[in-house]
Order: sequence, then C-alpha cells, then structure tokens
Amino acid sequence: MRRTLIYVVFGAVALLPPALNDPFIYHVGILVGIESLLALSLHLTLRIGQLSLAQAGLMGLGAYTSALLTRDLGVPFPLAFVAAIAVPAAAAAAIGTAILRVKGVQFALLTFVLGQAIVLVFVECVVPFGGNNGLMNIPSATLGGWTLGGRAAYYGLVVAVVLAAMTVCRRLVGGEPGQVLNGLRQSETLIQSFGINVLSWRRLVFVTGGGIAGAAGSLYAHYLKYISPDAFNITATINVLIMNVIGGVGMLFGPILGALILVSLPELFRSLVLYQQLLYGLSLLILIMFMPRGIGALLQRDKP
Amino acid sequence: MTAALDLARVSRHFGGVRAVHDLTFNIAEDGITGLIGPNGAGKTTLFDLITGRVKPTSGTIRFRDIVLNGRDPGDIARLGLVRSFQSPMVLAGLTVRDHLRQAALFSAIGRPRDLLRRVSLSRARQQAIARADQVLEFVGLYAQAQQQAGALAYGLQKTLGLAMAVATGPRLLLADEPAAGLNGAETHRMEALLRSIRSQLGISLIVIEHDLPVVMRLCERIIVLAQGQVVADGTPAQVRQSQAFISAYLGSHQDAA
Repeated sequence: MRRTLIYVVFGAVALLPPALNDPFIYHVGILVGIESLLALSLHLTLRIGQLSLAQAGLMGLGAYTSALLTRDLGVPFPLAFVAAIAVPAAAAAAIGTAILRVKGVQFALLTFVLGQAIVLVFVECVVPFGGNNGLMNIPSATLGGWTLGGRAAYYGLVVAVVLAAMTVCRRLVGGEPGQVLNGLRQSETLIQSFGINVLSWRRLVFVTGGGIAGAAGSLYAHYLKYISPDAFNITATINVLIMNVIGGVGMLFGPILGALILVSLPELFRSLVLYQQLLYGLSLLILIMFMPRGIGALLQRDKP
Repeated sequence: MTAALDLARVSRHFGGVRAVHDLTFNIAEDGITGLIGPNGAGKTTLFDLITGRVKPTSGTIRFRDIVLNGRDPGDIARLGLVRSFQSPMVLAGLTVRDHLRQAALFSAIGRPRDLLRRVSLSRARQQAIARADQVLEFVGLYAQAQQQAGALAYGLQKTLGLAMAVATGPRLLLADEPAAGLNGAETHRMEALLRSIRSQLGISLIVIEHDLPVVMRLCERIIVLAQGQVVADGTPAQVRQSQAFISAYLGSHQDAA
C-alpha cells in the first residue's frame, strides 16, 4: 500500500530529530511542523479550487490570542491554545459568509485584503497588540504541571498537533465530505443541483483552515516567545503556497512535504550565504518547471 | 389543486436588458409543460431564477407554497425542484454509477451539520446505492455503469444529466434542452425517457426544447416566451394557432399590410 509507505516514510522523518538529538535539528523540525500546519490550512482551500491569501493573517490571530491570554491574563496554555484555534475559526466563519460568495481571483483578492487588514490591526492597535514592536516575553507552553520549555518536548507537542490536524483534514478530504469537496472544485453548479448548500460547505473548509492556521500561530508564539506583525503578512502566505505547489496540491501529504523541503532547503545552502537566495530561487524554478504537479506526484499513481 | 410552481410578476433585468420581465404563471403538480421561444427569450434565465442561481430583480417565486426568493440553490434542490443542464456536466474521475450515487446521496448531506445525523445518514447511504441502480436500469445506462462519465458519448452524457436529476428524487424536474445536439434516434429515445419519467416515476417536468415536433408531442401545455414575457400559453393545439407563436417563430406579416 502506497499510503502505508507514505506514513512509514513520514513517521521515520518525524523520528529523525529525537534520533539525532541535535538542538538545531529539533529547531528545524519545529519550524517544519509549524509551517506544515499553515501549509495544510491553505491546502484545504486549494482543495475546493480557491486560493485564500488570508491564512498567515489568521495564523497571526491565533498567535496574538494565545500570547495575550497566557502573558497578560494568566490563562493556562492548553486553554489559550484552544482559544487560538477558536478565534480565527470564528473570524473565518463570520467573514466567510460575506466573502465566500465570490470565487477565483476575486476570492484571492478579498482574502488578501482580509489578511493584510488583520496585520494592520496588530500594527495600529498598540494596546494590546504592541504595534510594530510586537509582543515579547511570551510564556512557555505548559501542559498540566509540565513546562514544555526544552526543544525536545516542544517538538513532541508540535508533532502531536500536526498529527491531529492531519486527522481532521483526512476526515474532511476523504469519504463523503471529500466527495462534496471534489464537487466544489469541479462543478459547484452540478452538486448544487444535487442539493448541496455550497456556501455552508465552503464555510466549513474555510473555518477548518482558519482553526489550523490559528494552531500554527499559537505554536509559533510560544516557541519563539516573541511575535511581531510582519511575521504574518502576505509573504508568509506566499511561502506556504509555494510549499503546496512544490509538494503537490492533489494530496494531503503534499504541503507537509513542501514544508519539509522549503524550510530545510535554505539551511542546506547556509554555507554559501552569499548565493543562498539565488540557489533557493533556482531550486524552486527547476522544481516547478520539471514537476508541475509537485514532488508528491511522483509517489502517486497516474490518474487521467 | 394548488399550483406546484407559482411565479408572480417575476422580473430579472441585467442592466437595461429585460431578460425576464413581469412574468406571472403557475404550473400544476402534474404533467409535462413545454417552455419554448426564440433564442434570447429568457428561457434559461427563467430556469436560473426558479432554481435560485439568479436572484429576481422583483417578483415572487413559490414552490409548493414556499417562497424561493433568496434561498440557496442547493436548499431549493432539496425541496424537490431540480434541473438538468443544457450542456452535459460531469465530474472527472467518477464513473456513471458514482455520479448517480452522489446525486442520490448529496441531498442527505446538503449542509455539513447533516453529517452528525449518523443514523439517517447511514440509511441515506444505503438508499443512494439502491437508487443509483434503479436509475441506471430506468434510463438504460446499466451497461455503462462502470465507465468514466467523461468518456461517455455526447448523447449518453445528456441521458446521464437527466438521470442525475432523477436520482435526486425531485417532485418537479426542469430539463434544459434535453434533446439539443442529439440525432434522430437519440431524440426519440430522449422523448420516450421524458415521458416515462412523468408516467412511471410521477415526476412533473418543465422542458425547454427547440425541437418543436418533440415539444408538441410531449407536452400537455406549452408556454411561449418572447423577449422575457409570456406571449402564448395553452395546449399544443391552442399555441400552434396563436398569432404570437407564429410571429415569435416566423416573424410578423403585419408590416406588409
């Protein structure tokens, strides 16, 4: 089974940091996990043929929620984490009703504006968001009595969250919901005539993506202990879009594969620091030119 | 008997264009109604209005006494008001049977929250499988059940389009040019299929069709649209005699007088 093979490979990769037990590898692993979550959240909207450019903004919403709740209000991390999922998900639900009526380029543009507007709020509202300086001294993640201060423990948390998000996504893109999503991508008109309320299904996808982006934000904030608005602007969204393109848009492990490559690729070229950006750009160009369906397509059976 | 479909002063203007203007008519819950008229008369726009894809500029549309204005197209379809499309629509990668099963199942998961009703969903799942087989048999696509729908010949794709609408279990089916592009033999089969949908399944039909002999044979009532308005309405015999029908199709001779 190909799927089993994929899980085995990903499991093995996920076990690399503990096996090597190197702080830097842990660091890369944590970043890969966080970026995977954001890439996964974008992937969901791509699955229904829509490009949401608001994902990094929604991630920021999660990051600030989690940071402010734990730092200023003393809320325990697990609760703040749940809130960091709920707030962007609720925002996506509220805004989605209005913006999900449009599709294609217009949807991409509206979500772009939404993402930038969120970042603008962080910049302009110095209380409580700290303006351009962002928020500092964000407390470590805690779980019951444990403080997940060390990289190894934090890596474990990140892997657990990625697995949970993968499980949620698999339920959404598999089985009957997956059939509806496939219909949303291919022909909304047809499945509307089958009785599908297109808006409510698109909203579910957007809300789930928002929640996963929020989880990424919370993990990001409590790892770096510092957040600022510019981490959540359009560049971050474009990055995870590239991850999806590189990894493959048609499959769930595509964005994870993309995150793995895109986060670690710059590290490989670190010794050639002068040419780092050039080599990075060239690698992307070659990948997109020769593998338009992404690297993940190599593992997939040929479909018409 | 109450009207199944009731339109009261329905208009749809696109800028200055009156695609449908001040339309009032109702359709009883039995029979086959033909909707004819020259190109640009507003027939497809009327279907779009009824199925909620296009919002009326003014007027009220009711189906079984439920006001449809402002309702989601999917929700309208679940009320039993379903359309088939002029150009065949199929989903890539799915077989003919898949299409019919999804058509039968999706009304049970019209909204995501319907997934939580596990008992009724698992029943709907079973019913959808049975229904797909029934419809395959009924429309004569059994031999093609396992084929990719995208690979079907054009005529069979048109049949599949109608079959999908039937599989949703509608009360009223709006068929948009079911015979367009079909050859003589295929047109005859389509005509027979439409008739049996009415007689054997008890589904009422409104049919847009340009093939006038087909419409005249098939329909008990014919509504003629021209420039977004009803210009004739009656039995085939009545409509054939009406001046409005003749001038809509053949042009007016009054200028010559």
